[in-house]
Parts: sequence; structure tokens; C-alpha cells
Amino acid sequence: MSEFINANKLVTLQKKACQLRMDTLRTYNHCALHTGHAGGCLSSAEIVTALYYDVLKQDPKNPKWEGRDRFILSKGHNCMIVYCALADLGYIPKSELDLYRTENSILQGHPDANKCPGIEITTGSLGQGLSLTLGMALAARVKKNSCTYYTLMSDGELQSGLVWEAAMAAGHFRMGNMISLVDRNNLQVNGKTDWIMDVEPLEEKWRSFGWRTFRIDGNDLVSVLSAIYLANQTKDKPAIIICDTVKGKGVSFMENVMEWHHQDITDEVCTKAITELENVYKSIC
Amino acid sequence: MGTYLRDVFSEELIAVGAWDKRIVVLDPEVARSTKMLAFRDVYPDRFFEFGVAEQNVIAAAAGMAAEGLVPFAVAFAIFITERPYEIIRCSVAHGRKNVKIIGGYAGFSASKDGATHICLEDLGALRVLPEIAIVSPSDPVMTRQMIRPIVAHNGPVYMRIENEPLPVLYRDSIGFEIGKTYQPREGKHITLIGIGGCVGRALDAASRLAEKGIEADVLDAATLKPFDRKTLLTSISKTGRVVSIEDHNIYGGLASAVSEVVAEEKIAVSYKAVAMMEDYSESGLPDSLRKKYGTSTDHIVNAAMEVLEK
Repeated sequence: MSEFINANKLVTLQKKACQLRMDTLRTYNHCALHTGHAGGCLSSAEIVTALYYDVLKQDPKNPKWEGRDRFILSKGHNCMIVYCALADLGYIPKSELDLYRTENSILQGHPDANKCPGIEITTGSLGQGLSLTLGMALAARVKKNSCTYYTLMSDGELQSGLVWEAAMAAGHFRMGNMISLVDRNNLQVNGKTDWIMDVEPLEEKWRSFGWRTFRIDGNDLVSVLSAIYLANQTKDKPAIIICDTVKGKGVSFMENVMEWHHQDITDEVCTKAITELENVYKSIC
Repeated sequence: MGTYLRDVFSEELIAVGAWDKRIVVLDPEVARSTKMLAFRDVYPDRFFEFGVAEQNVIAAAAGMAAEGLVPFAVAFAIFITERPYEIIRCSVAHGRKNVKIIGGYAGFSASKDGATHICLEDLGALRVLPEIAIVSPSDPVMTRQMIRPIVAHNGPVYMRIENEPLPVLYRDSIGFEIGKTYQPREGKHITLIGIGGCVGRALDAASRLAEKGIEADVLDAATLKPFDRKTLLTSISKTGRVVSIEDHNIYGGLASAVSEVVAEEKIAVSYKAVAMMEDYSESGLPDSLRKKYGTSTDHIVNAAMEVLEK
């Protein structure tokens, strides 16, 4: 991660985000159940790309390297896009991807740290990720480890009370080694987040809990990279980056459509989506 | 008249914490009651006050364990097991995290506080979760000896502690091990198996039975899980009669563990459980509530007589 975003690097990262979207949909299509949480994977592609391909100090050959930055996917149901990044980076063999959600697979329906290298901690029970991260980041203080602890949450899971217990504690403990991101794609299983249980005003809420807040276009890599860079400059408080995103981003018929939270990815759907994404990929230059 | 086990626990955790720097304590604002303020005073950098937030304590403890620490989440049994239950299941037990959950004020020992605080379900609730070891000390000596094995055990442990002064039952030489049932008294006519403070009352009952010429084997199920089937089997093979005693609901705890062994091993024994039936109790004095709800020494003696008459 550096102060300047090199134009060539940006093109590479944009292509990578597009690639991860395609890998995600192809894997959902190929895997035994031909289904998955596509919408939230697509909305978080730029966030996952920024972290795995620019921000995180990591060593895919040594996933437990003590000096690594930690990334906790609190919205565990969107693990496929992370699995695709882990396979691309060499944490896991690419051949594992199509075994997703089958018996004996290291790739569970929600990420299982007992099974999958590169997964820091098991998630999928929504609302726990921030609190787990808090514990890890407090341990870093005890161990005098200087790495950074990143958490990616969904907007729907902010309805869980535990998130706010963790938010209050992280603010209280002034956890400057925690940077959390919210994939604010406005949709959850039953509909729009705002009418299921409104989570706004998010910046005011987090600020009042003692966090530094950023609000950005979460599907714009320059914005995501800049916000993470800025969040890393001051370490006196935890930082939250609220990433406004589009659920299903990159595939026209999935964008902002609630049903794609979790849906069958048939051959027809996949072909249509990949055709669109390939055109996007070619247009990045 | 006895020693509060929380005092012994606190002293020993401080002693072990001197050489094992991985040990940290998380407190959901009950450290004055659990005696963890003493740990805070000695190791302020390894004590974390979370306020009234047991769910956050358990999840954060799992996070700390993921980073190699040995977190002790020390609180009231009812609130540290039942409030964050699914977090214990997902992030501690399934995650195989080295988290030590210490539930104080268990059973009728929180009696003055009423049904909201009297914890009679924790053993059953946690026993169904794979990976968690469950221990409960019956006296101050065992309490002190439990701490090092709990720290050395690489995985989640639940330690249930009652908040009543308890007499010494053991000599220092017992050498506590997780997974072992102890035998503070030998007999041949009937087996009385208890857990926690009930072991002392089982011994009192055994003395009263001895006056009637009945010699009881008294077993101390200090580890409920993994359950020491062998020691129970050896005893009931000899006596053919067993009474289980616990300050806990009849479902899921010691009564269930004993029944499972008896049923699975197809041993013909007469059996009765002394436990809380389906209820939540109320405010009162511990021994008085035991009389009312069926776990007093009188109830142990009566259950033994019933089993002997079968």
C-alpha cells in the first residue's frame, strides 16, 4: 500500500476485481449445487481486491506468518469471492473451488478456519466478526504485534446487537489497529435494508461510538484504496469505512435485485453474466 | 466453616499467570464478585473490562485465543453460558479455541438473587457441544489443582464454580486430571455420584447411611465431560445401585451422563437422580431451597434408601 496509486496498478486491480466477479459466478455455476450468494460477492469485489491485492501484508505460502495483517470476513456468506482470491494467490489449489459445499471440501458454505488455509477465523454466524476481530486486535496489544486487523461486514448484519457491543468496546479501547469496512449494498434477504430495519445514519452511529468514519463509493477502487490508506495514517482510534456499493455490481440483471442475494447460477445465467463481465474486462485500460 | 472456591481460583490464577503470560482475563463487570479484581491489580495489562456484555466477552475471547492467548472469561454461570450460547458453539467450541469459561455462582449458590441468577441448566447446555471439557470442583484443594490442567488443556474448558464456603475433602496428593472421577469414600452397597458442592453433601449422606450399616461408594464427577465411564462402571458393577446428585436440572447434566452409561452398558442397576426437576427456583437460602426443590442431604439419603429397597 502506498500514497500514490499508479495508473498501471489501478488497471491491474480493476481487471482483478472483474476477474474475481467472473471466477465467483463460474464457480457457483460449476459447483455441485449450482447456487450461491452472488449479489454480495459482486458488491464487495473492489473491497476484496483492494485488500488482497494491495493492502494486506501477507504470505500465501505461509498463511500463519505472525507479521501478516489479518482479514476477517464477518459477512461469511460471501466467502466465494474470498475463496477465489485465495485460490488465485496460491493459498489453496484452484481445483478446490468446484468442490465448494461438498463433503470433505475445505470450502464450506461459510468459511471454516479449521479447514481452509488463509481463513483467519470461522464466520457465517452474522454479527460476530467485529467482536472476534476486537479480541484478536487486543491480543496484538498484549503480544506487541504491530499488524492491522481488517473486518468486512454486511449492512444487514449491523442489525445484530453484538456488533454494537464490539463497536462500543473498540471505541473505548481506542483500537487504532482495527479498520473495518461495511459493504453498504442496501439489500438483504427479505428486501431493502432501510425498510427491514434501518441501520442509518451510519456515520453518526459509528462516530458516536468513538470511531473515525469514512464514507465512499465502495465500487470505486481509487476511493477504497484511498480510504484504507487514510485510515492507516492515524492510529489513535478504530476506523470504519462505509462503502456504498451496488448489490450484484457488474451484471446488469443482478444489480440492485434482491433475489440475487442467493440464487441458482444456471448455465444460462452464468453465460449471460460472464459475457457482460468479459466486455467490462476488455474495456478496462 | 469452609472456603469460597472463587478465592482459591483467583489466587491460583494469579500464581499461574506469573509464569504463563498467555493468560488474560475478560470481565463482563463482575470482577468484584468473581475476585478477578485481584488479577487486574497484579496484571493490569492482561485484564480486560468489557462492561455488561457477555456476548462480546465470549467472541473477543475466541479472537484472543486465535492469536495464541489463553483467555479466561470469568463471570456468573448463568450469564456467561446461556446469554452467549450460540457464540460459544460457533466461535469457541466449533472453532476449537483455547478459551476457558469460568461460571461462578452456579446452582443454588446464587440463591438470594432469584430465578434470573440461579443457574441450573449450564451443564446440560454445554455438554451437548462437542469439543468443550466441563469440570466442577468440589473443594478448595481440587479448585487449586484444576487451574494448571485447565491451562495446559489445549481447547475450550467450562469450569463451574459454586459460591458457598466448602470444606476440604481432599489431600494435596490427589493430582487432579481432566477426565477423571475421584472417589473420596469407599463402600460396597450403593454408589453416590455427585458434582461440585454436592459431593460434600453426598459424603454427609454416606455418613448417615453408615449409621444404618450401609456403606456407600462416593464418587466425585469433577469432570462431567469427557465423562469417566470406567470409574462409574467399576463402582456400579460392585454396588448395583446408584444415585446421582447435582445442583442442576435433571436434564442434560450428571443425571443424563450417568443414565447414558447405565443404559449403554446394559448393566442392571437400581438408579435414582437427585436433581432439580422442571423448574426455575426462587430467592432463598441455598440449603433451604435444596430442601424445597429436592437436592438436600435428606433427599440424597431418601433416594439411597429408595434405591436400596428396590
